[in-house]
Amino acid sequence: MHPITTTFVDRLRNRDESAWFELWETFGPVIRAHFARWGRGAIGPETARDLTQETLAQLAGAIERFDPERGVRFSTWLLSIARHIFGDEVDRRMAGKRGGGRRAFSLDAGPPASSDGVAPDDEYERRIFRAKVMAAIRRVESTSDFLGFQVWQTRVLDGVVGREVAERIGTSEPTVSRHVARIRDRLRGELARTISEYSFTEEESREAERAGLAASDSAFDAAIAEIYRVEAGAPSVSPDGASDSKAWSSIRFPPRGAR
Amino acid sequence: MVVDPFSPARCALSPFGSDFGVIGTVLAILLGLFLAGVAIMVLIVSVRFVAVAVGRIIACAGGIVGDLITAVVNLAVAPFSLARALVLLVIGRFREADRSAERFQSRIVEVGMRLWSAVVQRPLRIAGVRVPPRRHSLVPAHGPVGPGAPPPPPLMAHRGAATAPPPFAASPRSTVDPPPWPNPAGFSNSFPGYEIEGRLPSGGSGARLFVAAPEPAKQVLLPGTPSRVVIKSFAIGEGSTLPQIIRESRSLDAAKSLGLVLDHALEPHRFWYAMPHFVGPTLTELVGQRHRALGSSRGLDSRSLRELVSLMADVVENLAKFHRGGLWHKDVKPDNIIVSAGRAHLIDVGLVTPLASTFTLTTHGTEYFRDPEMVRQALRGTKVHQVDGARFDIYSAGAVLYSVLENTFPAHGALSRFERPSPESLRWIVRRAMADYHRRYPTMDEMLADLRFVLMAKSPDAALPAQLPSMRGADPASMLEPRLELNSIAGAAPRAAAGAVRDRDAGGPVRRFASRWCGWGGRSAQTKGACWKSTMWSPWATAAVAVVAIAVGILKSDRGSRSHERNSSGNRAVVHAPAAGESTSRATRRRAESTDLPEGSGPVLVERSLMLSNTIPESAESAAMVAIGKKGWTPIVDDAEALAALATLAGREPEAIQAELARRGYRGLVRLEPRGERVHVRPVSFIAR
Repeated sequence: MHPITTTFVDRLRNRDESAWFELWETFGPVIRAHFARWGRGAIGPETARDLTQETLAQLAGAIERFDPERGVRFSTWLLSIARHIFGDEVDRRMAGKRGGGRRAFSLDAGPPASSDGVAPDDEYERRIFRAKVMAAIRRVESTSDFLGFQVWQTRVLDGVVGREVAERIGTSEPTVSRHVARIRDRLRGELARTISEYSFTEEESREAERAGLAASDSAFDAAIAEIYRVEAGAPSVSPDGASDSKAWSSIRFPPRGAR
Repeated sequence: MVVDPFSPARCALSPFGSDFGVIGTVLAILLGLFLAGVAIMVLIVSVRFVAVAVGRIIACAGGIVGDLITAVVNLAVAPFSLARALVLLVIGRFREADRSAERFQSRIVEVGMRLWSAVVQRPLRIAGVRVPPRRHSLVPAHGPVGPGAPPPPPLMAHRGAATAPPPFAASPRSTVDPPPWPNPAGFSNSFPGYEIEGRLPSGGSGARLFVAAPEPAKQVLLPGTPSRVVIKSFAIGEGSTLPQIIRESRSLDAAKSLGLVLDHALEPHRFWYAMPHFVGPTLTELVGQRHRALGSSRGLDSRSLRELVSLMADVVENLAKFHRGGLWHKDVKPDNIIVSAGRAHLIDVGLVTPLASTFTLTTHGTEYFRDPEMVRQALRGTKVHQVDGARFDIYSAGAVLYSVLENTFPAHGALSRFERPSPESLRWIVRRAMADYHRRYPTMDEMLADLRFVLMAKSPDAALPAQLPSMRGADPASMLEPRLELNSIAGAAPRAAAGAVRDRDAGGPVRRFASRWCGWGGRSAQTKGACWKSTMWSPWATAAVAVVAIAVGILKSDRGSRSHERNSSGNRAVVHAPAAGESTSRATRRRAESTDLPEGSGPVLVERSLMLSNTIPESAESAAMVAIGKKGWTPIVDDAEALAALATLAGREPEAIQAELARRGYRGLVRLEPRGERVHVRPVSFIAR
């Protein structure tokens, strides 16, 4: 296991709130989207968000028990907690209706398959991987100079040709290429670091390779652009709209060591 | 000359005769003074009466003219709406026909309301009689205001009545149907000097919101003599908590100085303040309307784009004023922006925070419009003054601009994808505003300069990112103050363009005229070209601003040297406030280095506005408490009441809090009491050395 992984789990175990926020920021949208999908329209964005909070709160209580050496993916572990939370929510809802007390949703059967025929777990894992890539891009964005990153974003993510990018920002095409190459190199490094940080198995670590991110520059750019196109498209949930300190800060972590 | 002591003249000055004379004289003088006093009182009362009467008559006449113009315009336009509805009905486009019919109905209702106002309401108001407005958007408040009145229908006032667009439809603030309001204590919906006309949906803070009309005597005391205000009330008996009240009251004085708050009162069981009342749609609603009108994926046309970007410039300009006043809004989002009379107004000052506050940063705000960096910093326990809160507002302004272009929220922050066609320069502005904390616009002025550059361009698509002032390294002031040079040098069309910028403050017809002829939907290429040329004068503007800046710099350095003299003259000290545009952390460092309030008392020269944690001390009542530490000073709380509240919150005696301060190494507490431009330092309780 990569040492950074240990550090991240340690940070979570030590109740480092910024580590938990990182987790929430990176994987929260994935979990929310899954709750919304499992609910098949029966649960609204507010409930999805509440359930996501509950998932992370449960995760906080169980983090002490997590053993990365057992070879279980962190994402799989997260999903299993989310499933239990979702099952509890279904039970709660059914208890108040006719036929209450009976289990209306089998957790063993798992959530229904998606329309494209891909098993939900595969789709979930793909989402988790895309979330890691987006986290890496965010990190590069926060550590790069604004102009360089914008050039890369316009050229690679928005797919604008180099000459046009150069015209827009009032520079030459070679300068654009230099900016793009520099950001690409940084992203490669950050991607490796981020995937290691959130991955606990060899299989997870090889995901980048499978997604074409270890290939040549042009293939790497195309793969990143595709992930961005899928992930940063239309929002999957509605905004809260309320002035609040909800979401992250309303999660109540159990005391350290609680079982 | 010898005076005969027995002569009649001498007898008249005998003891008795002399006393009567003196008493009579004194009485006469007193009577004269009394009569003079009465005369002066009568004169004052008469003058005030005449002034109020003349004021009311002028206001009434102006209002009647406005009402009649609006009524005539609506009456003239209404037949077109009706005709359109009929035509659409005939050709089978029922939904649009229904919408046109609704528009016709609303115009007729508006005509009726305006006539009612012109004929009945306004004339009666001269006599001090206030007739309730016949507005369907306002409902009578429950309880003492309208005993026995039926429960109010769903209310959508203040934030407009239009339906929210689909992406925002889940927003609880735009679809609130408040339940009947319990009023067990019976004290919280009556405000001295105000007549409640209706209530508004409660916001996220849980406070009660009322629409009220100030009584004439109160109205003349309020800035701008508004005919209606919004009152936000927090009552302990109705769910509000003491910390909430303290948080809301923290920036009150500063908010008042910015005109955000008109009036306020802290009473034994509640706290309330009055704000300006704006009627109109929220930016969310307006953006939804504009996007729906053009289809879901076509983006905005040039006219809508110009209108909405112009409103964004209003918002950014307002925020720049906040920041110059030492505050940040903290909850900038489309639902908190009301478009009224063609201008955008920021509402909801509930989270407004002083940039120099020493309180811990909180995560309050609205997801997707709130900078994730702020949440990170809050979780680390960072104090407000240790970060630059203005940059969090800049992020939010970028998010709002994104929502204007995309009609949805930026789900992925700065990486959010643009799905609809929009000018590259505006996308660049969004990304720059939402970039990493250290890489985004350092000030609102720079963002405003970029927006204005796009607004003044021949066409939005013609403005390339490379031409933006922030990219050229231009002084933002050259874009913020272009009118002086343009008015004096350029020709008529650039003058109109400059006028458009200048008259944005007034929102007058010049602005509309200029923006129409020089905007993106402009009529003639010649005029467009002239407007484009106007931006070419920026070097002149830059030069002029540079000259002014140098002059101001010289003056400031002179003041600085004088301050230093005071500082070195014994028991006098200088307290520096953050300069405009200066980051709070830098100001804090400078302050810590330069401030040394000595033990004892002495005058303190206040430079600019002294931001002590929360408030500018304006009167002896709002004097600030300051703890003197080993390294400079640390503001503790606003005033004595706040100190008492702090003690209550902590569940400890004030002495215990002082002991805690001593434990942390503070030398003691002083009280800063304003004396004009100076502040008197008075030790309250020195604990230890």
